[in-house]
Amino acid sequence: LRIDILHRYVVWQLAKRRAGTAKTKNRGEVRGGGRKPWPQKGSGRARQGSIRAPHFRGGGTVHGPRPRSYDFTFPRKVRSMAIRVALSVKFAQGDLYIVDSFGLETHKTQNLKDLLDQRNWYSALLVDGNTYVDENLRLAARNIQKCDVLPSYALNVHMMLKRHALVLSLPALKILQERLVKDIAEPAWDKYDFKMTSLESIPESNDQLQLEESEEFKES
Amino acid sequence: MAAVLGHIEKNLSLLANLPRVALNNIRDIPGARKAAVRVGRGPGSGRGKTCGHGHKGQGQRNPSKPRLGFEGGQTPFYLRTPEHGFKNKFRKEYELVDLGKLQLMIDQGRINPKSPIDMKVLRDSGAVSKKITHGVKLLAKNSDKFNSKLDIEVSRATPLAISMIEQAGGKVTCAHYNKLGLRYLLKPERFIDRLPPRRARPKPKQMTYYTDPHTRGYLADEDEIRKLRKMNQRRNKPKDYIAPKETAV
Repeated sequence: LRIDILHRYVVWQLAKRRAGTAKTKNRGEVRGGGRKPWPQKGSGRARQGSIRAPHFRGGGTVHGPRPRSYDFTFPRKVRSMAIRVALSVKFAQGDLYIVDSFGLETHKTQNLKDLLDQRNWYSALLVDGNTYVDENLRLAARNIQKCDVLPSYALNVHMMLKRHALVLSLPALKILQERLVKDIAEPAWDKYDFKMTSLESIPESNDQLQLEESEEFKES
Repeated sequence: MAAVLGHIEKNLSLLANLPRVALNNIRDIPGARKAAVRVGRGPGSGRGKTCGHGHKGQGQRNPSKPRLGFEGGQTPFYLRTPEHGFKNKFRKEYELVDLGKLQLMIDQGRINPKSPIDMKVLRDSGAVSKKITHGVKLLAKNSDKFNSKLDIEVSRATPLAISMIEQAGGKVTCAHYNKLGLRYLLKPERFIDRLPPRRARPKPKQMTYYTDPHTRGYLADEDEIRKLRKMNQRRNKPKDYIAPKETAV
């Protein structure tokens, strides 16, 4: 499994979010230093042109940091592969869980916390829906430490590796299946034996979903 | 197929026993990134002080040395030597595959000897590179362990390769594919919404090769080919086998 690609993805993720606002003044920007401090010959001292040259105390910085962007284009297919590798890693190490749906009854944090403790998900990344997350879930999980909630389009390797458990809801799983398989070259499709769902059948939010909720959720 | 994809199961089961993959234990493969050379950073680096430019001279000054090939004013070697020859733009470059590689692919389960093998099979299995310019040529290299009965179609084949395959009971055909025909063969998915192209016949210069039964050309007389194949299958040394010329060592 390409753990090195996970590394590259995380490096890219963290680099592109950098503010890049560090700046130093060079010898042209430091105030002063336009006049020649002493004549070229006769003073007995070394010849100098400006008081703010880099070798002077208080002088300008050579090649110091400038405000810049640390973003770079990370190939889309490699990004997709990294997410696939991360999912496989979670699966292989027993950290991948799939849940029918995240349709919670209340927005109370305590309820969700009890649920998570019950399953020993003390460090979890919950992935729901496509662009929106169930409102109750979002509110309930907001204040729980080490618990993050994401819509499936925002799934990224940094958060997947940071949190121990990865919990996907069924609609999120189906959306990911469609999205991640698109980048694998066509001839390889016949090697894999999965059933594809059509995009129309995937609901946008959990309201439209009519799945059986597991008993434990009903209890909460 | 199972033999090829078995490594996936193995990798996953290995990972299960290793510590959790987290942000603190992922790294690049050693050698993936090469460190840049930073000159002028002290004697320990080996590139301090003069930064690899030596002392004085044109090499140390800005903007350093003259262009490549300059010999100080003497007529340089590349201007002194005469031009030679030409480049044939109609040259055919075939990807090579030898019997040893074929046998390896069959043993690994990447090629099925029971179904006919054509250039698409060779490309997909990895026996030949993905970029095939004019076709594939079959050679008889590394063939000591070759013993599979195959039905193979390539662009060209050496006489020894033909005889070895037919001695093992197989069948060789040499077929001509022009650029479009090859593309249709190797990437049929690009022709989904189009009419399938018609097969082009070889150009006159290549016709002699493909109408000759000795090279098992696809346009040659079937009966002649059958006769030659029978001869190969019957004897150890076939009648039309020409031994390579022995060169003095």
